[in-house]
Amino acid sequence: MKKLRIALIGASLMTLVACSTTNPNGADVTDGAATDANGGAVNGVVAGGAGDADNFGGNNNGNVKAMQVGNQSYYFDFNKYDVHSDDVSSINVQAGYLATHNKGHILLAGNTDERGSREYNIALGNKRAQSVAQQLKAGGINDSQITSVSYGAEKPAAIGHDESAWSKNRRVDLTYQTPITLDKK
Amino acid sequence: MRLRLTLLATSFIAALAFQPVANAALDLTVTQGVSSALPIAIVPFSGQSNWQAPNNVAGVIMADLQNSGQFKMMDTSAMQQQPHAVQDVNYGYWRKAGNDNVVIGSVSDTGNNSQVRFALLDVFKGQAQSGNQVLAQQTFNVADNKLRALAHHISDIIYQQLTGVRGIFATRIAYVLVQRNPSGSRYILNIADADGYNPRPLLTSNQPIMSPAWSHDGTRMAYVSFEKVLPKIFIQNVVTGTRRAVSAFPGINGAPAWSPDDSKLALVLSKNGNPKIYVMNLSSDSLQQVTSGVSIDTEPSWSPDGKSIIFTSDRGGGPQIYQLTLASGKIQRLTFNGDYNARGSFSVDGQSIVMIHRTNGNYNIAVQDLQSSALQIITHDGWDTSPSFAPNGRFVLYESDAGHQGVLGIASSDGRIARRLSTQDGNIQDPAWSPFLS
Repeated sequence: MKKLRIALIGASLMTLVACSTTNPNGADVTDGAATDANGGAVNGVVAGGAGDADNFGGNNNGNVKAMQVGNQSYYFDFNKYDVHSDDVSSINVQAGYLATHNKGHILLAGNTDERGSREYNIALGNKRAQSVAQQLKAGGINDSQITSVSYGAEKPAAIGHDESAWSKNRRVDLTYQTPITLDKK
Repeated sequence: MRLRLTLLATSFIAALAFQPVANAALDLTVTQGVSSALPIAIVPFSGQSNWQAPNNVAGVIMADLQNSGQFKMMDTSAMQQQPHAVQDVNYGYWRKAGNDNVVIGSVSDTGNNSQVRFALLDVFKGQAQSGNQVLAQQTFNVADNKLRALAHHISDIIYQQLTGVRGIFATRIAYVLVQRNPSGSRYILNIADADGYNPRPLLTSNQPIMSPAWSHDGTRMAYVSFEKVLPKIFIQNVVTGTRRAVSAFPGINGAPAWSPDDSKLALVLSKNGNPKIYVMNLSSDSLQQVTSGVSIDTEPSWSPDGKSIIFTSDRGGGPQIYQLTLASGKIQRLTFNGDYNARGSFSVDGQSIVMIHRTNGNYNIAVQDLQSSALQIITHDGWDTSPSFAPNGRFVLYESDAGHQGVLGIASSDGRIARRLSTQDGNIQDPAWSPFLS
């Protein structure tokens, strides 16, 4: 069973490489002056290309699907960052794949529910991503295969203001990146 | 009081009609009572007939003082006299109408500019004919498009005369406006006047923007931007828009906080594993790690004397606020009340801190006196976060998500007054009050 899955992944990996180079999604960023600092007149707002961000393979792209290896979202208790024991086997499946594909690279995105302090939630999401990374590394994969980011409460998976939404938002999402298209500057 | 609030709301909505969309004001609601209020009459100034126009000087002054919650305004429609010159003021009439003070003035058109005169008068002294009834009197010549800014300045003069505390009406606020759409989100870092008028974007992105922090000289903004997927801390010149990335390490680059002299930035990095507090020297970009261990350490904030940093840490289990003395490296826990205290920052005098405090699952804003350790909860919405003191220490600006729309909350530091600024344009996050700007 496991062997079959990996073979399938291999195929989709190839597709991803082919597509993701052709269609980078540019993040739209402008910045400019608001005003003089002394309570005075408005200067013209300078809209400039502060940067064209690259997205991860296929994330916002209708024609490319991010690669899937089993379950890639792991959930956490409120204000906690230890991995649920029933997620360990799913994470080990990822580790098994990545250990045998040492050019494979993943993004671990830590998230929290909406409650509490925003920057504390960034730290909490970071700790959650770290917990998953540690589990993966215990499975034999390299540090260099993992990039972690925490979005705190800023990118909820479920919109809602009760435990059913919150429990879906306290998560780490594992995404395969092929190729690695982080900030190149 | 209720009628007056309704009036105020009406004038705000009416004002919107005269404003181009880019200048649209935030809508204001007063949510908590009013403290002992000073009775005052703001007489409509001569030369400006449209009371609700955004550049109506007397109208703006009235709104400012009203918003502070510390004044009881006489209804203009009840004024049987409307003098514009000091010699025309009948103090007996204003006393009988229940006022302690009267503000009068005039606006005269001088081409592209306007001449504005105002006087703040003491009704008791005027009635006693003691000769010192004029508490403040000034004449200004300003460009027509600065009338609103001048009105805020006059509000500051009046506020300081009558309360002994410097006014904050001519200051600004920064906040992140988030517009969530099915096609994706839009994040706009805005700067607006303290009353929510004149919002102007410093940065627009389709990825999160967080934690704007004003330099103490008011010219620069530090913030976190995820515009290239991974977070970076930028410092942007508020005037020119020029910016540079100062921190782009692996992991967290978060929670920037300026030292009192603006020479250093405290920040949070997780480049060595755990979220830790670092201090960056902004002239050399050199970096010093100031906390260690496996805990979460985040949300640094400098003491006004620059000698210590308070921060949030879960080293004792849940989030609590600790104080690091920089010279000795000694760390001391400051909060013991409740199981969630976070995002602490100092008052200007260093005597108290404001923070997020959780009780029974509700997140409110609390102020703790550092001498007595007494903690007072000053907001009661249950979804409040990101507090910071106004530069005069009398008010706290925070984000309130009551009703599940992010709005700006402004509460008096004693918890007696609260009001709310909201917008139909999106959710407001992470507000920060500017320092005094002039």
